[in-house]
Amino acid sequence: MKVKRLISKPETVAVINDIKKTAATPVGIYSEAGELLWGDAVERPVSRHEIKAQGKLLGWISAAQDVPALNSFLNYVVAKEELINRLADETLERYKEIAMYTGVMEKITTSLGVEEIARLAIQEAQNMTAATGGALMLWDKKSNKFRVLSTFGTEELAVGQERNVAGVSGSVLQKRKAEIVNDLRADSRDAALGSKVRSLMCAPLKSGQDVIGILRVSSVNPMEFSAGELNMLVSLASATGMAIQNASFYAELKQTLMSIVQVLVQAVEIKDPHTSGHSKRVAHYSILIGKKLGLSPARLARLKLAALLHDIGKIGIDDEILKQPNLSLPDQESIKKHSQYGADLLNHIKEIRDIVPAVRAHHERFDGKGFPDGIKGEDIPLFARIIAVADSFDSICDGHEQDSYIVSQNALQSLQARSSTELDPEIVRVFCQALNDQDQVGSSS
Amino acid sequence: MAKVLIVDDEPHIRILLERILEAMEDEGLEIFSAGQGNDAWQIIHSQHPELVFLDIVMPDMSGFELCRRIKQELDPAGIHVVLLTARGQESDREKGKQAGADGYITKPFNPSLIVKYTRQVLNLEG
Repeated sequence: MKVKRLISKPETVAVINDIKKTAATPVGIYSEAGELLWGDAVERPVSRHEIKAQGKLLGWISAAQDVPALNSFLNYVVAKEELINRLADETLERYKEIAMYTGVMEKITTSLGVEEIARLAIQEAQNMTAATGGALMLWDKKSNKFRVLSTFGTEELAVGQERNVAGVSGSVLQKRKAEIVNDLRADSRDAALGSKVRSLMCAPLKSGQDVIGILRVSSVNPMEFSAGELNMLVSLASATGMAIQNASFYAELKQTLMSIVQVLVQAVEIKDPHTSGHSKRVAHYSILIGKKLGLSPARLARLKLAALLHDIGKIGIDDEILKQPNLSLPDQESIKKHSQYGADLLNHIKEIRDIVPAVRAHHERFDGKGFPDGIKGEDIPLFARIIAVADSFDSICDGHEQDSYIVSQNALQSLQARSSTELDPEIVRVFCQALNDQDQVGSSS
Repeated sequence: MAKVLIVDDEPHIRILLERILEAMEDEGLEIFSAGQGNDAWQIIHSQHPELVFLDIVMPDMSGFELCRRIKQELDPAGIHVVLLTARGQESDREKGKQAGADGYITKPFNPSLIVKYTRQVLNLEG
């Protein structure tokens, strides 16, 4: 609060001018630094009245004669200003909460990575308090230890560090209740830990009924964290806890899915030695094409999955047929069923249903003479057209790694010969370019 | 000394903004406020603030108009103008841009954001 601004308001100026007129004596209002802000410069003041707010000197009134009306009026203005400030602070706290809820909550709850969520939560905890440091720690049930995931400022723990469940943080975890400790040195739980921290605020990270860790902010200077600030930390910690739990479930699900995919791919390769390594190579070439086409990382991941699984239907084909080098016409017809089998099989896994059309259509031809549905051109899903090119290239090369310039050039020529009839010419073009660009061809010539 | 001007016809918004900016008074920030466009125009001429928080809807003159006058009649790059509005309409944002506004903040504003913004524009140390 500055006196200069207090007495600059028109209504205040009007009153003090009136008082001065009535008092008919030289009187001036000075800032705390001694600058004359209003009225007369009084050389030898008889009366000097201090203007104070909460014990802090803001300035004074100097007069040749005491002007009690002016003194009490300014006391009144200061008191009113203090009240307004308090109301303003209260409102601003709410504003801060609203800002946090609308902004950060959305970011946190839509993030899918645990580290990213922890980083966002710490960042927000830093913004919403005057704390000098903070940490987010997850609790590992098995080892009964905290693991530090994210920190800021004067926090003494480092990211990745493990810590025993002790002190205020340990107590908050066990009691599942947030806490403020404004004088940590007087607190028996942390006194023995020899920390520089003076004040601390800590909230449990909850996910449903489970407590999965803690979020805390601290200060190396003594300070008074308020109940309002604790409320905000608690809200932040709840959202963070839930988001972290979701993210770990999501990561686990993805892991499980990848294991299933691995098992399926291996199952085909055990059954059909010809395809050994084939799925991986087709996935590799498909990704080259996908990248060149500018697909997003998320789409690329789906493409990789579809490519890895494109031949999965061979599980349903008779071993004898798969092993034969030269197939009779009826056998050729049976082996053609693998794309449909694959699609039917994968249709059971909800999480990868989006790639089923690509698996089903990977033997469709651009001119419509493929199988199983005889669709053509851009009616064939993009992923299927990409996989078809990658698949053809790998079979032309007969499964050889592409380390020979001659082989690759011949393979590319054969591929181009199939362009427009079997394969999407645009994708063939992109693939040739990608191979050249990435120096996949010719580097060892 | 860095100077900031708050222009809003609603006294409580002025009070809230003043309160937020008061935290920087000790760093050398001087705060002025006005309840209407004409008063604001006079303060701008006499005090030359570097930063103006400007309400869009005011009885005597719209924030867009005042912004346009500041940018056209005074040094366009010298005064940083941030429009304040309770309306989140995209068209307002566009109008503000056309009037030459440098920033746009919706009410209820995020206090930390105002502090950060002010420090940045006025080169104050945090």
